Amino acid sequence: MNARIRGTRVARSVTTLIGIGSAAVALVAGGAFWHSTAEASAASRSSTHTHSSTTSTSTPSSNSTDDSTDSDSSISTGTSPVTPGRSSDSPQATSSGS
Amino acid sequence: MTTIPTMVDAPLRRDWTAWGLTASVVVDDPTALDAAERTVRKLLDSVDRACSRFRDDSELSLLRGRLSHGVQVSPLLAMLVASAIQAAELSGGDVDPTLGNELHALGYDHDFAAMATTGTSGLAVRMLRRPEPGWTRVSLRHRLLTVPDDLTIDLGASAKAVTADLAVQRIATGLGCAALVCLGGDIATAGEPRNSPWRVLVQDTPGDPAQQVRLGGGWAIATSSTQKRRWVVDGRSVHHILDPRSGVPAQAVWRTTTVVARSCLQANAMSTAAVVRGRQAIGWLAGQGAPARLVDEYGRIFTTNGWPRDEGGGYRAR
Repeated sequence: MNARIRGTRVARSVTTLIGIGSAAVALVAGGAFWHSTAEASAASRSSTHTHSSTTSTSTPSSNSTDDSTDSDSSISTGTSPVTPGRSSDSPQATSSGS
Repeated sequence: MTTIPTMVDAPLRRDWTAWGLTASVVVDDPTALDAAERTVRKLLDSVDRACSRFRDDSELSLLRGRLSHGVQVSPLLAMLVASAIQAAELSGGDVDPTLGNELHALGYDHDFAAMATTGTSGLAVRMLRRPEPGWTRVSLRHRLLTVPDDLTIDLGASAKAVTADLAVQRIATGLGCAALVCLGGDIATAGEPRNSPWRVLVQDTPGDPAQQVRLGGGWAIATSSTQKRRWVVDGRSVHHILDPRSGVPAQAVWRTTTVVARSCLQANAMSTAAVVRGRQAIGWLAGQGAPARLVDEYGRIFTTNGWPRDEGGGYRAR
């Protein structure tokens, strides 16, 4: 009864909902869910690199160290769905926590 | 020289309050704005009626006490639960939809907009250790939902993200225009206005470092915050993102985590999981391949997977 739901089982469950009432269109997004990670991975050629940005306007309140790398070798080629914007642009939306 | 505003600079956006947060819709066709707003409002209402734990007449509330025996639920609720389980799987259990009891015990038992944030007495922050993750004990077979009595479903963030995904798809397919839907900062898009990426400001609170980015059509972006939805329990400030392993708010290593993914559900799951994972989040996100931006407790910014540097400093995709 309380069997663990694996991703494949959920995927089948979701598939069965196609065409049922108002939920149908949501499956477009649901269908992209699992695909998108691989797609994003393929788009990223340096997924294992992180860097500490210098764009912060805040001053660290302590000298505590961080275990992340501080490399400039992050992605310089390839494609990404998110690209720089201009601060002079008026934003169409704001992504903030809720 | 006169600057002619582009179509999307025209008043093609509507904002209103729903679910205690700001809902927005942006379209590139002025004739579609009214219908787009109606689409989002209708969907918000449907999802609220299906799964809100803050209203006694929601489908999920009415099923309370019966789910342990298995109940046929509506297609919409089934889809919302399935999506929440997907988010749990993607996040390795960091985003667990069965933390309703823990949130209630912390006093988060009604719409946050109506909550007293100055202090709650009589409640205590107690750690727990579950023998097994709650979400793995939930069963959904087609529309037959079974939830053990000791668990309470809280679809919270995943329902918001799914609603954004669903709304933007409905607008795009039903109205034939490019659209952006933003629910409390979680954004889903479909198409691009005049083939130009969407302009999104990434910023949590007004004092946090801000960055303007462009987001390709068909992508989503979500931000999780440990600075908002905070309240005080027995003199201790708490936030709403719980670590499922302890049942208490995750350590606030990050002020803000922002992730881009193909769906808002996925972006939301990863941004929330990043908060829960603390310092391990960067490596995990890098492995997920999702562009991300994290702001730590000192205001320092960390990015991965092609998240651009700020104005002029990052790389620009083709």
